[in-house]
Amino acid sequence: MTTPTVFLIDDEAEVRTTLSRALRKRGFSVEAFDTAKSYLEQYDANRPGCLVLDYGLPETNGLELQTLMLEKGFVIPIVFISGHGGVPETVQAMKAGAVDFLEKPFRQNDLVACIEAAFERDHQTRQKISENSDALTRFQRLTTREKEVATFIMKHPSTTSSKEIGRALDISPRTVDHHRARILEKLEIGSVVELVELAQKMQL
Amino acid sequence: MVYRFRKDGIRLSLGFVLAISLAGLQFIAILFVVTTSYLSSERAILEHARGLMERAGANAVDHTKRFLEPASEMAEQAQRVLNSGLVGTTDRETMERYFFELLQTESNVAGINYGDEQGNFVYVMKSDGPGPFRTKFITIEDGVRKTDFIWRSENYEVIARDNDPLDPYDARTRPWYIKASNLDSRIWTNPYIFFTSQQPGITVATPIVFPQEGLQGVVGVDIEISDISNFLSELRVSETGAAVILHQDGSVLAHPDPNQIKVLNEDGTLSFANIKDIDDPVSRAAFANFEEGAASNFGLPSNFSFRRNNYLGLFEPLEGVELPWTVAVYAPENDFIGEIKRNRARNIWIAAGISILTAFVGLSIAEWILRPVRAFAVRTALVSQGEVSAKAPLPKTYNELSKANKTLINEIAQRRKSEAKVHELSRDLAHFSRVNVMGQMASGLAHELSQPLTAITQNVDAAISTAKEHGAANDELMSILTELDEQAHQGGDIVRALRGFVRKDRGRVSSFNFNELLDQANRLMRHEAEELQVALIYEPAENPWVKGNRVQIAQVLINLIRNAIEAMEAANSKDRKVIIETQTEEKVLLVKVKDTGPGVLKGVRLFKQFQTSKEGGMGLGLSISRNIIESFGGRLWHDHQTSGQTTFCFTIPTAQKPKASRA
Repeated sequence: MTTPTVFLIDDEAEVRTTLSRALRKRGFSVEAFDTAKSYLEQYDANRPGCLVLDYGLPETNGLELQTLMLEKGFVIPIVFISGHGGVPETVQAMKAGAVDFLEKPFRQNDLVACIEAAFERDHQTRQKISENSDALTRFQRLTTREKEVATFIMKHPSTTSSKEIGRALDISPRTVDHHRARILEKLEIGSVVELVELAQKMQL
Repeated sequence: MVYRFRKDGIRLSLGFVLAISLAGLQFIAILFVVTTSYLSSERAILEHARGLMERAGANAVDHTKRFLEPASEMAEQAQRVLNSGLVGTTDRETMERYFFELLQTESNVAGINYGDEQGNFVYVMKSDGPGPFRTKFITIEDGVRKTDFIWRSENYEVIARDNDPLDPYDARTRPWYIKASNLDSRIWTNPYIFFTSQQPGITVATPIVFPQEGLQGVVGVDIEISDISNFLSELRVSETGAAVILHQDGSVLAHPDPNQIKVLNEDGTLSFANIKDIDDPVSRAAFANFEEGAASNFGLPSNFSFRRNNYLGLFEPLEGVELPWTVAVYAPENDFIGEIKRNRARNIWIAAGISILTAFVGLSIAEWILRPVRAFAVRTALVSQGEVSAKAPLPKTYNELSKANKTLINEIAQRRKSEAKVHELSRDLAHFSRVNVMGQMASGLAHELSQPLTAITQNVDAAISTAKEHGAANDELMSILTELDEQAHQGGDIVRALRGFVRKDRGRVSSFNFNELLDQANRLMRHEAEELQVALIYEPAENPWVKGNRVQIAQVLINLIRNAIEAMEAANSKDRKVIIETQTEEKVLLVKVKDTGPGVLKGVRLFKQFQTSKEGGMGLGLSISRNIIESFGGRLWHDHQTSGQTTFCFTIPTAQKPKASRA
C-alpha cells in the first residue's frame, strides 16, 4: 500500500516552505500548492493522504474548495488551518466533515495529531470503498435472471419464501430455489441475511 | 439641502401692477375713443369747411364779375351809340347828356369819357362837390386848347363852372387810349389809382371806328374797384378767414382792409401794394409761392401753414373776364375745428383724470384682495423661520391659498423627514465605518502576523527535528528552541486576543426598501460626484425589499461608488459615469455598480487586505465590504466580463414587503 501524503495548500510562500519542511523532518511525505486550482489539477483519487488547507485562499477559499470537492465526490479528509479563525467558518467547515480547524500559529503536536487522525480516516474510507467494489465485482458474475432474483431479495428482505418470490417474478418456486443456490455460491456468502448486508454496502 | 432664493430684478407688488394696468387700460380706451371721434369729426368738418370756402370763393368771383360787367356793357353801349351816329362824336352837349344819364344808372362806374384823335375830350364823372357830377371838356379849336369844368346836380342843373387853361391832360397819351386804338378792340387797363378820386380802379376802353373815316376816338369807362374790397371785407369766410384779389403782377387789388392796398410813392403818387410788401402776414404766407407774371399761378385748393397754424386755401382765376386776376380765399383750420380740438384736449384731460381715479380704485381693490394673501405670506415666513408652528391656525384667506399651504406644509414635513433620515444614515455610516475600519485593522494585523508566527513555529519544529537527527541535541539548545516555540505561541495568543477584538456584529437586521437606500446614498454622494464631474445614474428595480443591516449595506454601496469616482478621477477619465443597476433575481437582489473608468489594474488582488492601488488608501474597503455582504448571506464580486470598465456586483437576500408599510 502507498504511503499517505500530506497535501498542503497555502497562498503564503513562507508558511508553505516552513510547514512542509518541518513535516518532512517529522517523516511525512508532503506536497505543497499555492492555490486550490493547482491542487485540483493534479488530484488523483488513488493517492491516499489528507489535505492541510488554508482557509483564506484567494479566488476559491478553503470552504469553497471543500464544498466543490464534496460535489465532485473527491473524498479526502481535510485539516483546516486559518489566520482568521472565525467561529462561523469553523462551524461550517466541521459540519461539512473537516477533521479539525486550527488557528495559526498552532502547536506542531496538534497538527501532527490531526494529520494522523486524518490518515486513519482516509485509510478506513478507502478500505470501505475497496470492499464495496469487491462485492460489486462478485455481483457482476450473476446472470441476468440471477441478478433479477438477487435484486428482488435485496429490496424485499421480508419476502423470504420461494413461492412468494416466484409469484412476484412469474417463475416457479423451484426455479427460484435453484437461482438462490447459484447466487449464494457466486457471491461467496452463506445466507440470505448476508446478501441483504451486501446490498447495503453496495448501496443498491 | 440648501434652499436658494432667486432674485431676478425688481418684483413689483401686485397692487401696483393692478393699479397701473387698470389706469393704463382706461387711459388707452378713452384716448382711442377720443382720437377716433376727433378724427372722423375733423374730417367731416374740414369737408364742410372746404365747401364753405368754395362757396365763398365762387361768391367772390361772381361778385367781381357782376361788378365789372355793367362797365363793360356800358362801354359797349356807348360804342354802339357813337358808332351809329345817334350821338355825334362832335356833338359834345348831347354826348355829355348821354354820359350823364349812363353814369346815373350804375353806381360802380366812376366816370365815362370820350377822347378823339384831335385831342378833344369829354369826361363826365362823379364828384364830391360842389355838385355830385362834374364834366370836363377839353377842346382844341384852331390849335387853341381850352379846358372847362361844369358841376351839375342830379337833375342836370348847372351848379358851378370853372376853367383851367393850364390843364395838361391829353387823353391820347393815356395807356388805355393807346392800347385800345392799337388793338382796335375793347380792352381792360391794368388797375391804377384814379388821379382825381385817388381810389383804385380800372378802365374799360373801346375804340370808335367809322367805316370810312377810320378811328375817331376811344370811349373809356372808369370803374372804382374799392367797392370790391368792401365786399370782400363783408364776405365772411370764417371768423378770421379772408379773401384777397391779386393781379398777375402781384398787386393786391382787393383786400378786406381797403387801406392796405394803396401805397404812397416817393413822388407823391399812389400805387397798389405788392403782395410781398403787404402788412398782412397771413396773406403773404398764402401767396408765398406766387410768381410774378405767371399766367395761372394757382389751381385749387392750396393749403398752407403759417405760425404753426394750418390754413385752408382756395385759389380761383377770374374766368369769363379777360382779366389776369386771381381770387384767393383762405381761413385757418382752427376756425372750423378749433372747437373740437379744444374738446379733444379737454377729453384727454378727463381721460387722465379718470385714469388716475381708476388707479386709486385699482390700488384699493388690490389692497383689499391682497390683505389675506399678505397675512398668509407673513405667516409662511414666520413658519419657515420657525417662529410660528405650522399647526397654528391659518389666518382667514382664500381657498386656493389654504390648499397650497396644506400641500406645502406636507411637502416640507416630508422633506424634513427624509433629510433627517439621510442625516442619520450619514452619521451612522461615519460611526460604523470607524468601528469597522478599526476591527478590520485588528483582524488584518492578526492575519498578517499569524503567517510569520506560523513560519517561526514551523522552523523551530524543523530545527528540533534536525538537531535530534544529528544527535547534536544538547539540553541548552533544546531549551532555547522550546522557549522560542513558546514565545512564538505567546505571540500567537496576543494575535488571537487581537482577533477577539473584532466584533462579528451584524447589527440590527431588518427588512427595508433598497430604493430608499439608493436615494439616500445618492444624496450623500451627489456633492462629491458633482465636484469631480461624475454623473451618478440610478436604475432602480421595482419594490426591492431586502433583509440586512441598512447602515452596513449603505456603507458597502457608498464604498463601491466612491471607489468608482476616485478611480475615474485618478485616471482622469473623460466620460465619467457611475451606473448603479439593481435587478430582482430569485431570492436575491442583484446590485451592479459600473463605472466608465480605466478598469482594475492587472496584478491588484482585490478583496485582499492592505492591498490598494489608491494613494493614501488602506486597502480595507473591499474586504470590509465583502465581509459585510457575506455576513448577510450575500456575495460580492468583481465582474471580469466587462472590459474597459469596472463592474462590482453584490447580492442581498430579498425580503417580503412588510404589510404595514407603504410601497
